[in-house]
Amino acid sequence: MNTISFYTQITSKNKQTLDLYSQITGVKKNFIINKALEMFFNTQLNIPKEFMIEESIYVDENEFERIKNMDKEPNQNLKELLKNV
Amino acid sequence: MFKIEKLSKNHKKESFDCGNSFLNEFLKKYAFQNQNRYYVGTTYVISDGESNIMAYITLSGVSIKKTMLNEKYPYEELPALLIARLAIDKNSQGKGLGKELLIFSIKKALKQAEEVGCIGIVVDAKEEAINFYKKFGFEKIKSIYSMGEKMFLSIKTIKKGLNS
Repeated sequence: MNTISFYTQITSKNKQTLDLYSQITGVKKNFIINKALEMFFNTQLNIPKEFMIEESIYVDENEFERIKNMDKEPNQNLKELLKNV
Repeated sequence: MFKIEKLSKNHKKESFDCGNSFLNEFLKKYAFQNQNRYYVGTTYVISDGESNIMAYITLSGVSIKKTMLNEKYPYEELPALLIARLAIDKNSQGKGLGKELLIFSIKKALKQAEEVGCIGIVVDAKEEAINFYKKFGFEKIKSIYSMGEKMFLSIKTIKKGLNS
């Protein structure tokens, strides 16, 4: 992913909230700002947030590894369902 | 066996009522627009003989991304198929349409896995639908910044089920 840096001014309140949120969750500030901008521009396409389809799902490292390696045995209901596939 | 087809202008959306106003409105106002103007998400429907929609499912490609902290390159991605919406009209509930649409999405996921890569199916599950997906082995995943509950079923599990 190409990234650039730029200078801008935001309200003190937003800066405090950004710092606090990043500190509590451990999520990097540039990630939060990028996500906020993405949501803003999507909204500009006139689709309310609740009607938008997410193109990305973000998970932490442990959850990512869990999903990547998920290899459960299918249950009986799934086996039955798959007879129709 | 029900016929599943891509949502078109010929389908009658106005009378659709699944009991969830959000899912009703999505179909009536945004599904076609998402599909034909923005190319984000495709909606497939089961309709009666008069083109009234009995059930619909909206599918989309999705990336599962890792937010790695304190690393220079913060993302890694896994491709998956997203069941963004699934709803059944009140008058058609209890006829197995949900299962039909789930089978349809499994077929799509297997095709996607074969052709362009897909590690599984993610579903954006409404609260009332969580048990439906659980029944077939979907399990909750912990996502960050996500809208609603996300559940996942891996392609590996599906393939094991096909071979058993």
